[in-house]
Amino acid sequence: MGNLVEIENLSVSFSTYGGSVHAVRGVSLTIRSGECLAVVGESGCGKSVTAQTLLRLIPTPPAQISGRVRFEGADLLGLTERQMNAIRGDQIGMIFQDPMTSLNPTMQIGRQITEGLREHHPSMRKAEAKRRAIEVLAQVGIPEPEHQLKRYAYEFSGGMRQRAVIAMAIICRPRLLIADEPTTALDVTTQAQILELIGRLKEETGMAVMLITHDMGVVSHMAERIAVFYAGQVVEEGPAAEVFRRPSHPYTVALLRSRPRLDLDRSQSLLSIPGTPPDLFAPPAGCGFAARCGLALKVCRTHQAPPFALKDSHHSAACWLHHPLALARHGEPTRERLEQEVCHAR
Amino acid sequence: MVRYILKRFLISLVTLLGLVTAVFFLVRMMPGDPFLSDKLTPEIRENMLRYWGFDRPLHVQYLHYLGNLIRGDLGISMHYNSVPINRLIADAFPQSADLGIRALMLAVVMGTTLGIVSALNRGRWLDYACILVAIIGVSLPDFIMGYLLQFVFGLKLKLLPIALWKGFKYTILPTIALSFYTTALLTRIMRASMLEVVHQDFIKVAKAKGLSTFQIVWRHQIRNAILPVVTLLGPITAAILTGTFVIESIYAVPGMGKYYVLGIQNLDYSQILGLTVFYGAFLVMANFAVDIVYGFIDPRIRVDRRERGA
Ligand SMILES: Nc1ncnc2c1ncn2[C@@H]1O[C@H](COP(=O)(O)OP(=O)(O)O)[C@@H](O)[C@H]1O
Ligand code: SF4
Ligand SMILES: [Mg+2]
Repeated sequence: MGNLVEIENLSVSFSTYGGSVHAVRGVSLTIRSGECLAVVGESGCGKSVTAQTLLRLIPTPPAQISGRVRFEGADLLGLTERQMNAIRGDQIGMIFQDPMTSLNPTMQIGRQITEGLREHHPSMRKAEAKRRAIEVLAQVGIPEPEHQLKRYAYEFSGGMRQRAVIAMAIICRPRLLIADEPTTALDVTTQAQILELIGRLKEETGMAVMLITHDMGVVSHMAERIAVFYAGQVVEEGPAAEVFRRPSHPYTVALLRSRPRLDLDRSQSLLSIPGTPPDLFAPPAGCGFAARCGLALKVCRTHQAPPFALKDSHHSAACWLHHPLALARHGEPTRERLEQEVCHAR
Repeated sequence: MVRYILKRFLISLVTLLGLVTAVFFLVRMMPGDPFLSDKLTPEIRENMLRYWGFDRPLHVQYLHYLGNLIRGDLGISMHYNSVPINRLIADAFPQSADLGIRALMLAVVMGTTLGIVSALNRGRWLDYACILVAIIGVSLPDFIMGYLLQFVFGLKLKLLPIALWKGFKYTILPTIALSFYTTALLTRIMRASMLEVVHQDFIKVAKAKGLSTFQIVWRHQIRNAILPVVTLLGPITAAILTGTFVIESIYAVPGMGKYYVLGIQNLDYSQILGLTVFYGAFLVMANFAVDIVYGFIDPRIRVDRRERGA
């Protein structure tokens, strides 16, 4: 299938009083039609900024954006605001982290759900929009949808609100749904339900999903591909099964090992990465992970590694250990070796 | 919603009763009495006090007053040849109310508009112009504003009459003078509130739906930003109503201010009490109305059974 989204060498920086924050530094990504791409990485690594750039929700200034973002061939960064508005909500839907604040407290849920639809289909009758709203509310699993239209956000629980927010995002049947940490603010049971819902909607509608999360566990069932973010860059990217089976960037390994695992006993199971991510006001010239990486080579501190294609198809890691010379001298950086060098028991 | 309105109404009644009680006793605790004068012999004083019923026990007087009040009778003025207070109010209140309502409407419309304009042009000259107006308005007292407008537009430019109350042209300066402070206050509050709301997630969500800037501002931003202004309508009405006294005397408007001041000077118990109760009732009603309006705008305020989970 063709590429729905192509992001090429995207950089976003914010001018602040303290200097420039380089939030996104040369990210390249593709999302194919109908697939789920998971974007993972710890808080502050540029996931949300990347996603919001896709919808051009980041105001410039204060932000500066460079690179290229294509959606179905159109160069989004070059569109007028009006052309962009025709895409927002219609072709690309977005849901945000906190369902508590994503809904307007003073507007009826029904109106919030239909307003996007009526914006994109000005000739649509009110009754028709209402019928469609009831349909999506049912689709996202809200009981008695016809009775919910006149209610307000405060009358809904967190999980119900996130369902309503999802209904808002999919009512125009977008080609892409961006879900920015859609479950982070919810309790564990609700988390699972919402993820299941997003997965089901993807199957039912054939839309692509960009699922952003800081939790590797969240993506294991749903994502076809994974992009691992670190300090504003993509450090590893590939088919989900490959990334889980053979994580190839030291940071990915660390990320996988920093969550509980059932196959190891307790003393071994929780490991943490010492150190902190680099300062995005003055990002390092070399690998962003070098200061925390037990395997760092000399070149790591001076030069950024390009994404090296790995032996299995479509899997790449931006780490010098995969350079042919390093491979020749040190051999394959296996998961065990990376774990040993990067992670330390808590 | 019905429960909410009933509850607000009961609270209003209790507030009013509290006010009547407090003023009734406070007035009588002021030093002196209405008939303190060298010209009156003690005998005449006695007669006068008896005539007005001040010789009876306080609680009897109080219950008597409440009884009259329930029938809508505010008593009789002691100094205006026994004119009923109801008549005084009927004569004077229309002018005060006219001035007050004009000022209130001007302040609310101007204040919210300037606040919105200011916030939407944040950091540009229009914003700074609005902020300047707001600072001047908040720092100048009513009466200085009153004299200043008289001086500039009446005496120097000779554009508008400087006093009296004889038609629309006469209302312009006092209305502006009376509303200026409130306009400035509301400008500041509306601006701050707009800037706070714009950072809320639901604004970003609205943008992600593909709505135009105008729709986002109008449907989502202003509607939520105006809530603090609505809450303030009660106190603002009070401030403007009491402010009318000063402005009325500067512009010689024949309103309630005159009677209030004279009533206090003469220790005219029934006049002070009557006017205060009238104003109190008016304010309590205004607050009641504001609560209702607020309930309509912000659904979370309507505390009803469903929300409490009963
Ligand atoms: N409007 C902004 N102004 C300045 N810095 C910002 C702004 N938005 C995001 N950033 C910075 O950009 C970096 C990436 O943020 P974000 O994309 O939100 O991270 P996350 O991966 O947790 O979603 C962070 O360091 C954050 O502080
Ligand atoms: S080995 Fe070098 S390039 Fe790879 S993660 Fe460590 S520091 Fe970065
Ligand atoms: Mg984020």
